[in-house]
Order: sequence, then C-alpha cells, then structure tokens
Amino acid sequence: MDGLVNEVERAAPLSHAQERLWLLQRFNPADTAYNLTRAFRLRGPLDVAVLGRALQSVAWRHAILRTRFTEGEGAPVQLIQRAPLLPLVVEEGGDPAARAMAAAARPFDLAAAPPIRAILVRAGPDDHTLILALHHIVSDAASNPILARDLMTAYQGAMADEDKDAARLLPALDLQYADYATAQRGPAAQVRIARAVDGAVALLGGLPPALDLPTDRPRPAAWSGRGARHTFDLPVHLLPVIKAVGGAEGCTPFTLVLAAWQAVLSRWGGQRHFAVGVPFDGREEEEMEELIGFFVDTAVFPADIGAGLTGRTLCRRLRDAARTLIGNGAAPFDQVLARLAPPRDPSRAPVFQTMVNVQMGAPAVVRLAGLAIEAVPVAETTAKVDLALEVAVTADAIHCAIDYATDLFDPVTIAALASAFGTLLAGLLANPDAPLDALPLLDLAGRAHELTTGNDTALDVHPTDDLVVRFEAQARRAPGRTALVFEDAPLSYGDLNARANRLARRLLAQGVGPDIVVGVRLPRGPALVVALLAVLKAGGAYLPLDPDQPAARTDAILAHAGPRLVLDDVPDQDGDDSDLGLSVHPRQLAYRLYTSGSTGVPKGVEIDRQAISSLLRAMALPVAAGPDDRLLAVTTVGFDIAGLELFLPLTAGGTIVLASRAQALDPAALDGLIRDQGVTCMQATPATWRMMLDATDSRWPGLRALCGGEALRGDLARRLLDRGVRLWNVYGPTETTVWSAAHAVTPADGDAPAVAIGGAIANNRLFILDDRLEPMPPGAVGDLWIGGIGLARGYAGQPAVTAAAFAPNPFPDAGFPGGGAGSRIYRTGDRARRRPDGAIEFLGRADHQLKVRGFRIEAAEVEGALEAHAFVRQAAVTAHVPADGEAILCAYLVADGELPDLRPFLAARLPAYMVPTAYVRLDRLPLSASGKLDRRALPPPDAIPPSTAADTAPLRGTAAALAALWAEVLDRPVTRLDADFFLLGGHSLRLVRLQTRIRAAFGREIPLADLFQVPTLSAMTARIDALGAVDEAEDIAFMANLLDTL
Amino acid sequence: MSWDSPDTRFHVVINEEEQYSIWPDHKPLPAGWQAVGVSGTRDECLAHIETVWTDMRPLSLRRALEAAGRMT
Repeated sequence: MDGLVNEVERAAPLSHAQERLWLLQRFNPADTAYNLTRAFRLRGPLDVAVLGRALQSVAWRHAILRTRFTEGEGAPVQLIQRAPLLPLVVEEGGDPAARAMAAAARPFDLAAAPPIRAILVRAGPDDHTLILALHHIVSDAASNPILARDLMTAYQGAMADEDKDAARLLPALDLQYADYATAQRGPAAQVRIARAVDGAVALLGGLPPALDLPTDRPRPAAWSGRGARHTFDLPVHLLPVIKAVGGAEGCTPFTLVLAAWQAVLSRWGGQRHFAVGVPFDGREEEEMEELIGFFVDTAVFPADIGAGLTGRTLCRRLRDAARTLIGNGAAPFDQVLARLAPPRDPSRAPVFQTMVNVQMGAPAVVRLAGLAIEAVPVAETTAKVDLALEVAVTADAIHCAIDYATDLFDPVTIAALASAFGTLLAGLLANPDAPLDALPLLDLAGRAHELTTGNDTALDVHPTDDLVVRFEAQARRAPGRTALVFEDAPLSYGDLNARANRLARRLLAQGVGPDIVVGVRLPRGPALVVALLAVLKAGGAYLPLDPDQPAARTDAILAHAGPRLVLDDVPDQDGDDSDLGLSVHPRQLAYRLYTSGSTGVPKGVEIDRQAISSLLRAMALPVAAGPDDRLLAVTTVGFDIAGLELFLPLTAGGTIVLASRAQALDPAALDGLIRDQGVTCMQATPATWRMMLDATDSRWPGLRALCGGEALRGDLARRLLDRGVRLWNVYGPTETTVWSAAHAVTPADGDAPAVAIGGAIANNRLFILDDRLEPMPPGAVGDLWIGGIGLARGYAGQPAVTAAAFAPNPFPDAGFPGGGAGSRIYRTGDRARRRPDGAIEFLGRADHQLKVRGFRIEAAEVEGALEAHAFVRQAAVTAHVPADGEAILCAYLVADGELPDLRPFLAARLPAYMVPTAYVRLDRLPLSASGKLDRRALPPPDAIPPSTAADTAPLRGTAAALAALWAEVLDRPVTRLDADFFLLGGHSLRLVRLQTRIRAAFGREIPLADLFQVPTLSAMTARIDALGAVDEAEDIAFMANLLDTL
Repeated sequence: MSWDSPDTRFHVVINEEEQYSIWPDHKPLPAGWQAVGVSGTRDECLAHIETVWTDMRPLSLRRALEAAGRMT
C-alpha cells in the first residue's frame, strides 16, 4: 500500500460533491456503490508495455488520477501525488466478465491510494480485456470519453516513440480538478452557490416526503447498498414521437422520461408527492470539458402528481423546473441537503429515493490502432437509491435500465414496473392531454392476465349444498354421532336436529319464513345452536345478539332491525321432530348481522343462503373438514366468523366443541379443551391466538388453525408454527360472507412484517384496482374489491349506502357463480398488492396508516418490532396529536417485569422516525367485542414522558467522558443523558470528528453507521460500554495501527 | 375522473335483479346494467336511489315468494 503513495505535490479542499461521497464512503467503507468499473475487450496485437505507459501518461495529465483523500483539520482534503503510480496489473487467463465484477466489488480505501485500478486479463496473445475501476470521487460518466480519447492518443504516441517520457506523451492541462474544487470553496463561488441553493430549496417548497413504494421484503434498518440491474428497451418507434411531442412543448426527451417515471411511481405506490434526483454535469466552463473528475452532482425535482394532472401539464412544469435550476446555476446537493435537514434515516437515501438519468447519443467508444474493441458489460451489484432509471437514447434505440435495491425488490416486481413505465410513457405520448391517473399501466394482455390471476376458483353450488340440507343429511346418515360438546356434555346429531325441527315448527307458526328476521339473544350453549338452526330451517334469517354486549347497542340494533321476534329462551317442547323439507330460494336471507359503521350508525349486513352455503363448501377445501373433525368454537355470534365455527362441523359431520363465554376468555381453559376434547381445528383472531401463546407453553401438533379478523403479523405466525399448528391466514369483510381469501402460512412468512392473505377462496374474485376501477400491475398498490357469490345483499334499509359500496362488476364472467353480467363487486376499503409469488398482501386500511413528521408509518411494523423485545408481550402503536403540538408516535405495551428504555432496542431495528416518542404501559390492550384491538379505546398518553431523574443527574464515567467529546465537536456544553447529537447541531462531518475522538479516547472504532443509530448521549454511552474492556492483544494491535498512522 | 373525485358524474344504474348502483358516466356500462335515466354527482345519484330502492330483495326472490304466496 505504501508503494502507491509518494510525495505530495499539492493539497486542496474537496468539492461539495466529493465531500458528500467521501462521507458516504467513510460511513460504510465496504460500500462499492460508487465504484465505476469499465471493461473493454481488445482483439488484435497489443503492446502491453505501451498500454501501461499510456495509462501512466493519462494520470500524468489528469492530476485527479494521482489524488487520494484523507481527513484534514475539520474537513477532508485531497492530496495530489507528484507522480502517478498506476500499475497495469496483468493477469493470465480467467473469465474477463467475472474478473470485472470482482474488481467492481472491491472497495477503495480513499485515504490509502488514488482510487483507480487497471487490470489487463490476457486470454491469448491477441485477446485481452482491459478493466478500469475508478471511484466516483475521481470520475463520472462524462469522464469516460475523455479518458478513452487520452488513452488512445497516448497509446498511439507511445507506439510512435518508444522512448518518449510518459509524462510528456500528452499535453499538460491549464486547469486541474483541484482548481475547480478550490474555486468552488472560494468566497465568490460560495455566494453564487448560496443563491443556487436558495433556488433549489424554493423549487422543492420544503422537505419532500420519502418515496414509500411497497417493497417485496421489509426495509432493513440500515441501507446495505446491495443492488442489481434490470435492462429493457423501449420500442424504437417511440423515438420520433418523443421528439415530436416534446419538441412541440420545448421539452427534451429527458423531460418526457422524467414525467413518465414520476407518474408511474406515483401510481405504483399511491403517493402523489415525493422527489426525484437527477444527475447533472457541473462542467460549466469550457476548459472543464477537458477534465476527468467528479463534476456530476444531483439536482432534485419535486414530484407533485395531483389528481387530474395531464402529461402535457406535467411536462411543462418539469421543463420550467429544469430551466429554473439551470438559470440558478449548480446547487451542490450536499448544500441542499444541509438546508433541508431531513430527519436521520439510515434505512434510505436522504431527500430522494429514486433517480432518473437520460443520456443522449451513443456511449464513448475506445479505439486503438490495429485493435477491435468492444465494451464488456459489467453486472451491476450495487444500488445508490431504491430505484434509479437510466435511459440511453441513441439514433436507433432507447435502452433503459433500472438499478434497484435487492434488499427491497424482487426482479419480477421490477420487470413489472419497467413494463408499466413503458406502457405509461407510450400512453402519455399518444394522449398528452389525458389525466396521468387515467393512462393504462398494463397492456391488453397484462390486463387480461391480472383479471384472471387467482380468480379461477369457480365451484358450482347446487340446492343440495344448502347448509340446512347438508346438516340434515349428516343427521340422517349418523344420528348418533356427536354434533356438539358443551361443558363436557355431548349432543348427538339426531337430538340436535330433532330439537331444531321442533323449534322451527313453532317459529313457522309464529309467521317466520323467507326474509323474516328473528333475533337470537342466547348465551353460548346448545340452545344457541338449536335456535340458529331452527330459524334457518323455518326459512328465516337470524339476527345474532350477543347477550353480553351493552344493552344500549342491542337496543339500537333492535330498533333498526325490527325483528319478528327475539329468542331469549328456547325451552324444548314436544312436537313433530321430522325435517320440515321447505324449499329454499338461494337468495333468501340466512342472517342479518350488524357491524359498526364508520359513521357510528350500525349497518345491518344481509347475507343470503347461497352465500353462506358456498362459503361452507369453499372453506372445507383448504381446511379439509370431515367427520373426524372437532372444531373449537370460541367466537361470539355477533361476529360473522362464528357462523363458520358452528356450521362447518355441522355440514361436514364433525363436532363443535363449544367454548363457554368464560372458557373463551381463559387461555388455559381453551388449551385444556384442545387437549381434553381432541380438538383438530380452531379459528380465532390474532389477539386470541397471542393470548394463548403467552399463557401456555403447549404444543398443538397438527391443529388446523385459522387466524383472521385482523392482520396477522409475521412474529405471531412464527410463534404459532413453532407450536406445531397448520396455520391459515384468512381474510374477508362481513359484506362478502366470513372469508374471501386464505393463505396457507409457511415458515418463510414469519420473516415478513405482515403475512399475505393469499388468494381467493372458491367462488370469490379478488380485484386490485385503481380509483378508475382498472386493474393494477402485479406488485403495485391498489384498492381491494371482491366479487362472487358471497356478496351481501346489502345493508338493510340503507339503499344509498348499499349502492355506494356495491358497484357494478366491470369484469363479468358468465361462468363464475355470482360473477356474471349484472353482478356487483364490493369495495373493501383495504389496500392490497400482489406479491411476486402471486399471493395478495394486505397493506392495511388507509385510515390505519399513521403519519408522523411527514413519514407514513404502518402501526403493525412498529408493533412487530416492539414485540420482538423479550419483555414485551403485546404492543399497539398509534399516532397521538397533543393539543399543542405535532403528532407523536405512541406505544402501548403489555409487558413482563420492569420495562427498560426500549428506544435503543428499537433504534437498532427501525428507522428513527418509527421509534415511538411516548410509552404507555397497560395491563391489557382494549379489545372490541369481536376480539379485535380497539384502537380508539387506547388512552391518550399523559404527556411525553418527562425526563427521568437519570437524564438530569450529573454525568459520570463513560457518559461524562463522551459528553466532553461531544462538547468539543459541537462547540457547546453537553450535560444531559437524553441530549441528541443531531438536535444539538451535529451533522455528518461532526460525527466523523466525533468518531475520531472516540477512537482516541476509548481506543475503540465504532463504525459511523452505528454511531448514527445511537444519537442520544445515553444510547451512545451504552454502545461504547457494550464494547467492553479492550483486551490486551487488541490493545497492542490498536497501538500498532496508531503508530502506523502517525 | 376517478371513483372518489367530487367532480365525477355518475348514472344511476339497475340490474336484472332490480338492484341499484352508480356508475361513472365516462365509462361504458358493464354488461347486465342499465341506466335508469338519472345522473348527477355521486351524492345526487345516491339520494335518488335512497328514494326509489324501497324493496331491496332481489327480483328473483320477490317473484318466487309472490308465486309461493299465490299457491298457499
């Protein structure tokens, strides 16, 4: 390494852009995202020695290729070595492409040597591959043709004159990169830059929200830089159209590409505001056009895709923005960043998370005498931002590439996005005055595919499938078999059927019949099941009323429903106990069930007989219910899923193990029932399952477990699978009859924050649509609509509410039960997307989404992180807006033992903005009657928790020593443990200085990225203390290193 | 015009089961649905439906029940 460093000819400050790259590299020394690697295959006679001299002469000419970068006094400096030391390393054999990839994946130590390497791979006497690897800090894309041209000139010069000094093969330059960097730091340039930054910030109108596209995997807490490239071409016939449409508006192809990219991302994730980074060449003076170096910087374009915005208007707006930015002069991104001061978020690039770069003209070609030269593609394995679009427009092609973060996205998703981009751009060009929201994202084939994917679930429903007919058939087939067990007392199919028939005849006598509603207000027990069956047998519709719900709610429901009668007590009486044999119309009501309406008025959802009968057949498929099944029923009948728990066993010849109300609330009792009653199947909400996991250590091998009613989080899924169950995540609103989708959960699902809801169950069709009812591409976010036989008739007595929620089905399919011409689709109000594996992912309701400090936060993600802590049993997270301030994130915790400060634990797992501010401990989380978390019942936090005594006590030990270092770099006193480095004026460069001082004071190297995660004095102290005592061997090694650097 | 935009104009539509709904006037009507001749904003259309959709039972069920009533 020392061999590459020689006498320093000159020291200079870094340009703004260089400083930012230097910091990024310092942050993550192993990062290779900013390596620029080129490979050229040279066929023909090559003079290797001459090529080596030619390379040397290029580095003689361009001082930047002799420059290394190190920490100076308070700011980094670039040190130009007097002579180039750029050896051409010759390697024999080997795969040139693999060798180029290896070179691209090798990080540069910017302080050790000029970050440029040259490798020549020799495959044969006339077959070489030249690999040039440079760090971006010394070059950019526009440097390529300069480097190629100078290398070619020098090679030809050296061939002509074998003896000529390499230093004189190329003419000297009047201006070097260091001059540019120095001038940029001068007072005149700083005034100009300040003005440009003002303009750039004004254009953005403040800090843009982070682009929050749905990802295929959870975003890691820290950015890794791992990436890949997806390449595709756009049809070349678009080329003249781009020029014609753009030309009419004075728009360049860049403007059109940027407009289409902004529009497609906005549609993809449903986000109207974000920002896009656009690289620009900072070679403003003519003489800079001769220079190799890092002149490129990034301009930030706001994306503001309002409803109804047309392509033409957006293009004009972006054209004007570009002109404004050019008119203001170059604004270094690091200065714009400092002004915007976004909250620290190590999980993504600041300000913009997507970039667009458009190159006009063919790429640089290297020509050397007597040699045939072709570029060898170097596979991209890094990403600088979530998604970067590169477009190269040549005379006869439009080559595109998307560089994407592989931590976040699968190739399938990026391919779908690329296709949507091309389709949208073509649509924009064909119809520039159409709203961008209306342009198709799918071509016709893609659209047809999306509408059918996962929706081929048709299952004929015959009169014999009616649930009463099926139950009576089971009772005839095996009257002695146990239909129901309640508090250890069995009831046979024959007795249950006879009791229900007797009651049904009495109901008939009281006028019950088709579409007549009968209230059932009975405690959990055999009489409840008898009553429900009897109402159905009489042709009526039951209205379940939980006797334990508040009387006021029952009264409100009864007032609205006006049932013919209410069954509070059903004494068994003698009578004819044979089956009634009434004919059933498939559309007559089976039940009416009241759900809480968002307006506070309960809504009576009306479900017909064919819907519930179809559901029972459909669910029997994945769950494989049969006569040997014993299903533990725990859900209140006020929640529609209870219908499945009762009727699935009764139609399949199995047994209901009916939990009493007391048992249903007692996890130990439920565990006992599973064991003692040989339960094979159980359905419950996530809250109930979590309660059982927390209360017992039991394993339930082979138990078929259905989890539904709320989103199933990965951690809960994993815990359930660990107990040996076979788990299904089931999904569906009451309006589409119990469940509409089911997903067989695998261990891999346990790694995701939220488990997929899978695909449609039989006779359901799931559509992910935009707000014009057009299908979204796979991977993109849309509204989930459901069609099929399970759709409710509507809301009783509320025609307008019904008409608003149930829309005409624009995708009728004559062969689909309940899905043909004239059928309807129901809008769930849930957001969803299709994963790369085809499963549908539930992305929460729009109104559950929290917004804090401009960041969109899914409560489930924070809750999952909290529950990963050993002491936290359950967590709920909401946004709380104090009367006098901005929204804060508030965590509600059910915990074991003394609760420690969870913030450092969370900071290691979540972006800082997702770490809750307030923590409230509760004995239990409030649940609604149906067993779901009742977010509205969470108490407001008293206040942001006051600083504890420990925060204001005099600092001692490590904290005191660290506070002194903070005070040095922040230039202000630091006295409190809860002090936040960044809130006290710390920034990246100051953090670098602090890192250096920590190294000197504590003898420990803490990576910058780690320091970022512990911004408070207490957390950083803990981080340092966690490193433990320095052991002697390491101490010596450290001292040796220190001596080396001195 | 999107489904939720306040500017979108809708038709009141009806299917063979005499169930009502609304449909944006710029999109072709899905098969099996007919416009009843009333259009306007979403709220205007829904207000109309609130007054005319007095029996929410599907037509096929109503007819079957009427037929059964005549027989008994």
